[in-house]
Amino acid sequence: MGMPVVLSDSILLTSGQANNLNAAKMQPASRRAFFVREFLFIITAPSAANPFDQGNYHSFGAFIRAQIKMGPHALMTEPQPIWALAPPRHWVGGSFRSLTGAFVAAQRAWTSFDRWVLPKPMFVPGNAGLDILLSRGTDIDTNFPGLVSSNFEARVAVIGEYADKIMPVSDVPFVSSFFPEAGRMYSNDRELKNTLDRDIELQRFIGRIFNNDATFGFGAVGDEGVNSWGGSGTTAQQTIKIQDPQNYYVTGVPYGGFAPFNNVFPWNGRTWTFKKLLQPGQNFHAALGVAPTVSTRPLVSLVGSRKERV
Amino acid sequence: MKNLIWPSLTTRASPDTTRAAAPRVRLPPTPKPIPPPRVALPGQPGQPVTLVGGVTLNPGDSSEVNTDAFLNPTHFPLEVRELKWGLATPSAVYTGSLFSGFTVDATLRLGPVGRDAAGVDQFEALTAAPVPLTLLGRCVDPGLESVVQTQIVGAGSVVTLDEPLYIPPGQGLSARFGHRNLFAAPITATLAVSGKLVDKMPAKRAVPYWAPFLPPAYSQVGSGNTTDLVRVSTERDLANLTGGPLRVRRITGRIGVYTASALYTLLSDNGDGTFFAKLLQITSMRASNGCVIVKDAMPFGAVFPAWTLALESPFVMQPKSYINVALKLTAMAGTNVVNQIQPGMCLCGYRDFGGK
Repeated sequence: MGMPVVLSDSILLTSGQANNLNAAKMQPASRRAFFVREFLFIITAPSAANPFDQGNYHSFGAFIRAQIKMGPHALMTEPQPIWALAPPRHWVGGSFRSLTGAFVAAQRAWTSFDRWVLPKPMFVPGNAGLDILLSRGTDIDTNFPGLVSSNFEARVAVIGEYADKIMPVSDVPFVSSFFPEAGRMYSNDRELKNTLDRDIELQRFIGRIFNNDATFGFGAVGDEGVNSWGGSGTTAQQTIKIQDPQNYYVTGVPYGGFAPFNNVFPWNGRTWTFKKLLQPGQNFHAALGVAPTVSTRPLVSLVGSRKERV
Repeated sequence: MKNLIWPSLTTRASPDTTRAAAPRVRLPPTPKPIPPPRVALPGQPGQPVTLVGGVTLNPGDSSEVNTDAFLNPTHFPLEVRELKWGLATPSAVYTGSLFSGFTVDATLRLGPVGRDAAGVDQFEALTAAPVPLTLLGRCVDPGLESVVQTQIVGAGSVVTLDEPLYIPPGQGLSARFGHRNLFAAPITATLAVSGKLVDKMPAKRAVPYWAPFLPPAYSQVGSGNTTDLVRVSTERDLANLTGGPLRVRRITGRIGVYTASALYTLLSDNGDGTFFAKLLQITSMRASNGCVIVKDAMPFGAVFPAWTLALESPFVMQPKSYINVALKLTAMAGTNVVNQIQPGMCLCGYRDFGGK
């Protein structure tokens, strides 16, 4: 058990922009080797009137994508929504909050972040740093004109501990997701896939439904919100079926049927934890029962880790 | 005298005869100097036990809880897993107030409570200094511990010990509570010690230890306040003063917020967190051995995230070592908040006793 270490940096992102965090701040003092235990993503949307009033719930995790590399090893082969990395620790209908409504002082609790506790602590040798690219796509922003012009402040905090000894091998996480645009109901061959040349030890699926609802104010977004697109409501219930690499259906009864989204990814954690080895090139296939729209977009991701020589 | 008729009945007239015939009596060994508890109640291993004590404090007061409250009243060791504290105010004037564990601090010791002065040296200090109750453990539920301004009276939480605390028979916890004068009414502070009875004390056991850093509060940090914004800990804060290695399990970090108005008095943990967990910067955090924990200035909330309000990273601290922290409140220009905030941090660790 080494001493703790915390690294952090932030950037401002306008719509369609991508930028790297300061690499020097992503290395500990004296470039010592360390273990990463968790990542925190803290996103706030400043406004001129009050820089911290707006949208302080973790819905912003759907807007920002992250691509992280440890030395030459990528934790994801393409930028992934922050929502895809970690399950919400505290799912509440309250995640469905207005982005533009100002909260009174007493309601400003700082829950506008996502916390990704890695499947296994990742060893980062002294000669390798963390390269973190954050981007803000236009695919969601365009649905929220009120936000397009504002900067999101995206902060990443890396929490870990100094390494007592040098490790020859590191447990590097891997994430692949399926976050379809409006109308697309099936994952493609590049999604939910092991794109590496080595086995991935899977840890969990994460499933969430991004949506917005004007009845909660202009630009109100959340993880499913209160209208229960995931399966327990009465309108347009989302369903899903997932096939494993051997084409066996892992959801749905009878086989091949669709299961309510919320049965697979219940509100308490939005996660489906399991252990499986995913071999190089293998992938899962996900199919949705209801076509996504711009205001209801399901997200399914798989999270695991693999061993890399460092 | 010899019996010439019945030789077998010959006896000796010596007084030694009677002594030799008496059975031998073996005295019991000297009892060990463990006096039984003054109050011995029935109990058996495995039985759950909760000891509860409390005290009502006026603002600024400090008082010891009844010495019998946390005494192990049985003949078996008590394995403690949880400490549960609660706060309430008996004042009807403040029934609409919300207040936090920052308002009361605790000094905890383990030893032969209720004995005479000769037993003082046998106490093990569990706290390096008075610790606000909210800093004893990590956040249990952010939805509960973040501020929600409703008609909630009082506060409370549970501190789950990572490793059990053993209270021998006849010994107990000594708890002293202090009203930190952040709340203008009396407060009743209660503590419950929960666990179960076990057969015997383990050969190796751990005792929890808390070492806080409680800088002076930022008062009236409203718009325009640009002075007196830096707080730096000393070598007495966040320090291992135990004399042995301390296995630190986490560092808790919270921000108490309080606002007084004509209608309510608001005291909360992590309240208004978007402001203060972001505006309050940790500019430096270093261990006394030179290890840099926080290199670049970053928000308080980046080190102590709202889900846990703790830096969960176990490590070992050597005796007399400490962690040095520098805090700075960034400029508040343009904001509309007139509050007072009380940051606090606390090392939560364990000392080992016995074993190899």
